[in-house]
Amino acid sequence: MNNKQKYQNIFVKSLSIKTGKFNENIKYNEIPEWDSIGHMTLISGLEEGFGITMDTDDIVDFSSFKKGLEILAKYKIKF
Amino acid sequence: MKNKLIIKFAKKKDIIKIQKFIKFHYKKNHILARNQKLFEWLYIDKISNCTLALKNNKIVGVYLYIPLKKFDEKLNKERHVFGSLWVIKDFKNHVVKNLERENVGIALRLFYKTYELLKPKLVVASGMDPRLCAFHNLKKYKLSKLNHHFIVSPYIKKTNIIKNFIFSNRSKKRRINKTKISFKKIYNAKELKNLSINSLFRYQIPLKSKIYLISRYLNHPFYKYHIYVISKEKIINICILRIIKFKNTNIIRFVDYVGSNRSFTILNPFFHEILNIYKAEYLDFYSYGISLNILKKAGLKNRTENRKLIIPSYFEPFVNKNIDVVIGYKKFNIKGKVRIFKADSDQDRPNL
Repeated sequence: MNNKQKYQNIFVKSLSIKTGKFNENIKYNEIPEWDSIGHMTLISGLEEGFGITMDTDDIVDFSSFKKGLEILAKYKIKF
Repeated sequence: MKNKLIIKFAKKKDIIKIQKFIKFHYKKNHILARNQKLFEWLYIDKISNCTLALKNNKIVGVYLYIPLKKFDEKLNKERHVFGSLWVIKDFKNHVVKNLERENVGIALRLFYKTYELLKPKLVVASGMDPRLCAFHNLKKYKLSKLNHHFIVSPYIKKTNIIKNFIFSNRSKKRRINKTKISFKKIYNAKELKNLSINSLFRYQIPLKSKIYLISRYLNHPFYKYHIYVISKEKIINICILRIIKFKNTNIIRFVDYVGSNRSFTILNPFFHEILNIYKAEYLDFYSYGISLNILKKAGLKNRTENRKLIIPSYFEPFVNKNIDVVIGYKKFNIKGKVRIFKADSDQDRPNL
């Protein structure tokens, strides 16, 4: 499994998104699953999955699936 | 460094600040924000059982927990901990959606650091907000709900509190003097200390003890608990009860149990006796870790078997509906069967 698939899997699992509802354009608070509690679970899942600790600023900036790819790249995760 | 997030154990002198924080960022009238005596009883021993997240020397998050050593210092080496209350800045009125993204980092760092500092071997969260289940699942907590069982007194003719109970389902009277079982109420610490019951604590984690029972129940600053030992030649069970008086009726909350699962099955005549002694409408019991079959053998009925049935659990204030108690726990390389009951963690405390 490459990092992009891993990232997507963590997204779907952490936010408990039903199959078929996920797409790469999803943004924070645009689906009920991605509220603040979902965000906490997502960040925790990504930190654990990729073995990183994210800066608070990055947790705040993490506002969409696509933005997340940019942020994780800062932690030397290649997609 | 300015704006740096610092996480550390709270000190006793921080109590007022913590209470203000709970009042402002969680619930204005929450009892822990109002009642210092209760707060200290639950969360202060030699040190405070609370971690703080601080930014610019101001509290931005608190995490309250209850280690079992709070009630018996000798349980310290077990490092079994009940998570209790996790409040982050702007987490108002329990509306979790108000916890915005900037506070997610604080929440996570506080959670991680707390358990890094505590190094627990067992963590139990009882009464968990269901919206936190996904998070705890990801952290490899085992999640479940407490089973809710009850027995209606065979000595009453109608129910005032329970709704939609079918009276024909009531069990028949069983007198304890027709069995080989006897029971005795324990009134004080001296009596409890003199009992040969140490072996009864081995059946479960979190591990409890005589001193735990004394500190947690006999010395409770607000509630009166009733401790009964049940014997069949020797003591085999300990039942901890709390009586609620409501609407001219008594209700028995069976809030903690010590003893094996197997010996739980003999409790039925005891239930009948205490329902009679306290002139109670019913007894209820929240549990995890005792099989449904054993609970049934003890004559308890499962609340969820009848969807229309209502067995209230909140009386401060009264809420006329069923309450599910969501639990999660995580073991760290230890063995032992986890059992969780109503009075574990902060689930049986005053609320008004």
